[in-house]
Amino acid sequence: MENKNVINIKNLVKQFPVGGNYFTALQNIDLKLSEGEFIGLVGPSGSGKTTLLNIIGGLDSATEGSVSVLGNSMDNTSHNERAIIRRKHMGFIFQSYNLLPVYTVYENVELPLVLNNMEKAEREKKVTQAVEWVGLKDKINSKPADMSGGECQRTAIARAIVHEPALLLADEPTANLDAENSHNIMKILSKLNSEISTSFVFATHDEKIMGYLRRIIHLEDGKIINDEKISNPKST
Amino acid sequence: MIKFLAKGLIRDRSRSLFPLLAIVITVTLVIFGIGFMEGAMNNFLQSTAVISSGHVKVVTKAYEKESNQLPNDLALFETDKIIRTLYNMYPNYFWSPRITFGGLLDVPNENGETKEQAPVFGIGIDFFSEKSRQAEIWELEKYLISGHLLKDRDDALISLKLAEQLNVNIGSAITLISSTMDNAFTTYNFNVVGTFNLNKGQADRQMILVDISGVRQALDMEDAASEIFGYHNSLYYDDEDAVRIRSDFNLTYSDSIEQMLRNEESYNALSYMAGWNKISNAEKRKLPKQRTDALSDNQMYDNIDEWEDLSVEDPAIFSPKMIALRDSSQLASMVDFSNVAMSVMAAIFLVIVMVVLWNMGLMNGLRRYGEFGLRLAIGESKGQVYRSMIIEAVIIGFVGTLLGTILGVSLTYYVQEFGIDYSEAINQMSSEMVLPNVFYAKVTSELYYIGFIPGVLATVLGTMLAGLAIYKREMSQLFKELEA
Repeated sequence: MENKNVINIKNLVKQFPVGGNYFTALQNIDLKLSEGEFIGLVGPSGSGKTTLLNIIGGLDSATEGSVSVLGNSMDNTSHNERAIIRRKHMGFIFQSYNLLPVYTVYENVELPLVLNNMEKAEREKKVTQAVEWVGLKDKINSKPADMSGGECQRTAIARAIVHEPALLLADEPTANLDAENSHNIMKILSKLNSEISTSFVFATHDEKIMGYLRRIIHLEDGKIINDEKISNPKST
Repeated sequence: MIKFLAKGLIRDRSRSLFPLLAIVITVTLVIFGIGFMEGAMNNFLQSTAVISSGHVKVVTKAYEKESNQLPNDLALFETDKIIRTLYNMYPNYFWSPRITFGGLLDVPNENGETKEQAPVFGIGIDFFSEKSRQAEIWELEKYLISGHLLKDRDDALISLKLAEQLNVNIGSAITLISSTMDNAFTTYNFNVVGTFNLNKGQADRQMILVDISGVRQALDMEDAASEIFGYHNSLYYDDEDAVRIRSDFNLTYSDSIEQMLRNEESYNALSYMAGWNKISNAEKRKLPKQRTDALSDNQMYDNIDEWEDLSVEDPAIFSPKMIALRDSSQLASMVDFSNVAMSVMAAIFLVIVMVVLWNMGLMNGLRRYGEFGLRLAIGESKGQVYRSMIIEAVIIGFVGTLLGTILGVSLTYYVQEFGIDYSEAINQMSSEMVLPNVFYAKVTSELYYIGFIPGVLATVLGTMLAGLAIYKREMSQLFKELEA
């Protein structure tokens, strides 16, 4: 399963201007991620994990070094090209779910397919499938306000995977959830990882979910201090 | 995607209903405010125009100077000829002679002896000839309290206040005691056929209205008139146009050299003008107006005392002169004030609406950063997000303005038809100005489009400014704000 490179980062440096100086958020990052991997960027607050995730997702750009995602060099692509890459090949999960409150579960999950100009019949099929994956079939016409945090995050997962992206980026996906919901979410993601060939990258410092990860990259002060493979991760 | 966004727009009241309501309310207020101001000012001007000034009027220069004494000995002659000339020169206006007179009104008892007497302010109006349109502009049917309109030369309508003061009934004979155009004593009998209340404050307190033919007979003013009133055919007072024709008439007719030099006396008088005699004839012909102005001001004489000693009257004193409505006392400043007030009001409204709607657009944009961030993350480009915001703002702005315009124009139309009655307040005021008791709004063509300027423009501008953040911020920074 783990064969071609999904992410290839070399000598990545990211600096942010602060006052008259620059704050270095990431320095000399080298990272490769193969297809189907299930990895976590782990570290304390300010270690640079979210910044790295944003750069991988094309939401931010590197100050130095090269970043290649899904065969596309993110250094030389325009905003629009990066938007197309995200639209077609990436999924995002956020700490605060970021569901659109006026839309139902079905409509929230449908949004990436609408952006990809998919036919209505096919959209319906894929949305139903994604909602079934996350176990929300009975809530398909509910709105976010009527659901629990766990259900909202499962909706966000369905939205992130409905177009079967090659890469799914999750930023602290369990930070707002209790232990039970956190484990449920990780089980769903782990199961999806084995059923569809999507690669998963988590930015997290949640100890509860560490056990599900198959590779953990430890970040501290913007540097990778450890890259460990987990031999017996938890599964579904 | 458009269908998807439209669904969200309809469901999210804070994005659709509330901005829509804000736009509808502000646009309605703008339109009604402007329509009411426009209408109220036109009511005021029209009331003054109907009763005392016309949109323009022609009088002799001498009459103008003494007009508050109603000096019919200084009235215009050959009015039919002048009116024909006016129709030829200014076909957009209709012209009507009028005699304004003062006197004493005597009400006899059954023995023919004086029962009651009161000073009277009378207006002889050309009600009977078709072209004059005086019956239309006076709207006397509306103001008639009892009796009927004038049918005969000797019929008179008397104001309700005067009728009550004199205890006069319909069918009573009243005698006007006054002086003729040649300053001879005269009496003339009129029959009271109706009473009226003009609803214009104190303007009609001592008023009687008669046909001009009766007054001509009474005051021996055949083919003469105190004034010739002109009204624009639309009955809407256009200040610029009135001033233009006044200047044109006075330059080409009232101030002509031929008029000034046509009698020997004038020529002799002019020979005393040192400055004038130094100007060549060719130059004189080019400068008729300047010369007349100079004559009035006595500025061209080397020795002003010498001019006064000679006691030579301005030879143009009986030449006709046109006066625009704005030239009447206080009305120039009133017209200017109304124009400025209209502009200021429109500007204030515009600024308020701009600020309100700009803020609304801004807040709406800020509130939706979460949604924008999400849409960017799942693959919409910045341009697509920005364009969808603008399209949304245009739709909301357009629909809101359309509804606001319909509502505003309807409200204005209602007040145009039925008016707002200020009788109590107006009757307590003592003013020389003719103030209408009921103010009517005016639906003008500009009301149909003026709301779109703030309604659509401000909403879209506010949204555009809010949306600029999408372009200005690094996407990850924007994203961080969304997560907060």
